[in-house]
Amino acid sequence: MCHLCELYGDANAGEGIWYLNPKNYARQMYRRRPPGYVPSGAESGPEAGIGLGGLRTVGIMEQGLDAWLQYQKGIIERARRGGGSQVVPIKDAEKIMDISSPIGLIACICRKVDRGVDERAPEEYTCMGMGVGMLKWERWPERYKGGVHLVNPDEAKEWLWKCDRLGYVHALMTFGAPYIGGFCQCEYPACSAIRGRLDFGAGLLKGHYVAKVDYDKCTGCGVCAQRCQFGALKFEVTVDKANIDPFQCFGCGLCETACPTGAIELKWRASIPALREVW
Amino acid sequence: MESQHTSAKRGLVIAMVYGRLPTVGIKFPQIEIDHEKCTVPFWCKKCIQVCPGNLFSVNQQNEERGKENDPRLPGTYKLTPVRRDKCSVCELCLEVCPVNAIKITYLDQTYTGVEKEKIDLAAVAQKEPYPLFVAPRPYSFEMADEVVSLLEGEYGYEKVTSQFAEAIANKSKAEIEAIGKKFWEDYGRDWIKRAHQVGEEYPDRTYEVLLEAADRSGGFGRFPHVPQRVIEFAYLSCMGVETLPVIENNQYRLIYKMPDCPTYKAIGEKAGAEVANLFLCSRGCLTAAETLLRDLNMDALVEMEGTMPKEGFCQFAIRRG
Repeated sequence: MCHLCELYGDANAGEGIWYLNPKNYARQMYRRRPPGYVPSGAESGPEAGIGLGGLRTVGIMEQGLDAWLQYQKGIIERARRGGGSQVVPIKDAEKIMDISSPIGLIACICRKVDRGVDERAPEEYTCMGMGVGMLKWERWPERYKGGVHLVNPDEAKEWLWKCDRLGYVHALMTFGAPYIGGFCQCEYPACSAIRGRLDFGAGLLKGHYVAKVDYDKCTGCGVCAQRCQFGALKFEVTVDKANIDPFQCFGCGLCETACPTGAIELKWRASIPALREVW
Repeated sequence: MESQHTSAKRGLVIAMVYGRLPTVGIKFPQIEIDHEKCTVPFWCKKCIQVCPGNLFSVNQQNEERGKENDPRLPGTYKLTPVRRDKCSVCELCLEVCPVNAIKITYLDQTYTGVEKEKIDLAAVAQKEPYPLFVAPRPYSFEMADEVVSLLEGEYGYEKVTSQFAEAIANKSKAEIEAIGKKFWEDYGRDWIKRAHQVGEEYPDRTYEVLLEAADRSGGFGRFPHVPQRVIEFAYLSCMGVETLPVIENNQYRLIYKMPDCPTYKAIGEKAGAEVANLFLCSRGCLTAAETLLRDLNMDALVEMEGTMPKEGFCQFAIRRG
């Protein structure tokens, strides 16, 4: 079983999967403040420093292997406790839409900070904020440039499929584990979470599934090969089929949704003996 | 909780399979940005978009609440070469930078790109239109101070428990049960109706955004958040707590918890543990939730999932019918 499910799952809700446990999406709307309270610190601009975390990481990489391993131990431990994000395939993503409220479509902060994408139209949004914090987005117009489009679960599912078709990986975000407050649709390298994992071994956890190719059904068309963000899937010339490295696979399911012959299937990670503990 | 052994084993396996091995122990290229020249990076964006290593970040500076920074004005954003480990000195950024603000140093060699015609980027930027976000009106997302002062004065737990202790003084057990049931049901009903009324009289921006969103998306969000707001107001104002722990809030359920309830404890102090253990005050909280849902025309069932005498906290679950 996934260690996050052990920590934050509920056997009676969401089949024990931690991100299908509705409790992990719950939060109060208000706080009793002293009269005349003025917000400060993180509350007045929590995302002001986003993207700058890498500065420290790069400095430690330059210091050498010992310093780096020490640092990496810390980030792995944080990820193990859920202080980061996890890849979720679209079939589970749809279930999440039913247990979170409210749901806001927003511009992606990583794409803004790292790639200068200035999204102003809701149809260009690639990020999702969940939970009551979304009702207070006007506190940070910098973050939610162009606004927040609050939608219902059906609209959210439709939007998820649109992002899936575009080729964005679905990954949920915790804000103080186990509280899940965001759902990214993104790609390497603009996504801080995906690049953090691939380049620094930090943060983003693999999903609960692993993609597997059915060689009888695979026609070798190569459509899936454009979709993998993790370097796990390639078109293998030798066998004239798609090949997925299960150890590199994050279980995002983008190859599965693109396959025209239904040759790719997502297998439950825990059902594959040597991948059970590979997150 | 898992054993030490499993935990250690897992840590190791995770380290082994964690992505690629980063390059460590070598000096990466040093990248310097001349901020005198690079004045409007979020308007220009050229280097950010062209870099194959995606190593630049552009962050807003001096944020003002409720106002978007104008990317055309100097000093509103700052360019930082964050991920230097991804710099191969391909010089693409040097080529595109219109003001030659980037300098790369690698192994004692400096790279600056070719001299370009001098331009004032900020002056060019300011000629372009840019629709800035400005908050619709002065707003607060917090519960209004008036909500607390009005509700606490009328329904605060200290006052109500004293009234209760007075009402049941020198009464028999059977009388106490009958009087107490009515007392707390009346209290719960009046308390929540007043909280609902005060909440409508003092709307905050959180509530306005919620209602606007619900109108746009077929009513989604009204349940659980409209009752959640009133319930939070009622408890925050009258039970002396900073937050009301919300266990679940989605379109199917609203579950909240009152840990270490001060009302229950005050009854114990003022009327004795025996009276507190009759747990008549639970009628108050249950009636409050039921009344509120009825007033909001929401079809839902209210249940208690935890009680102060037994579990040490009260937990209420509202399930949509």
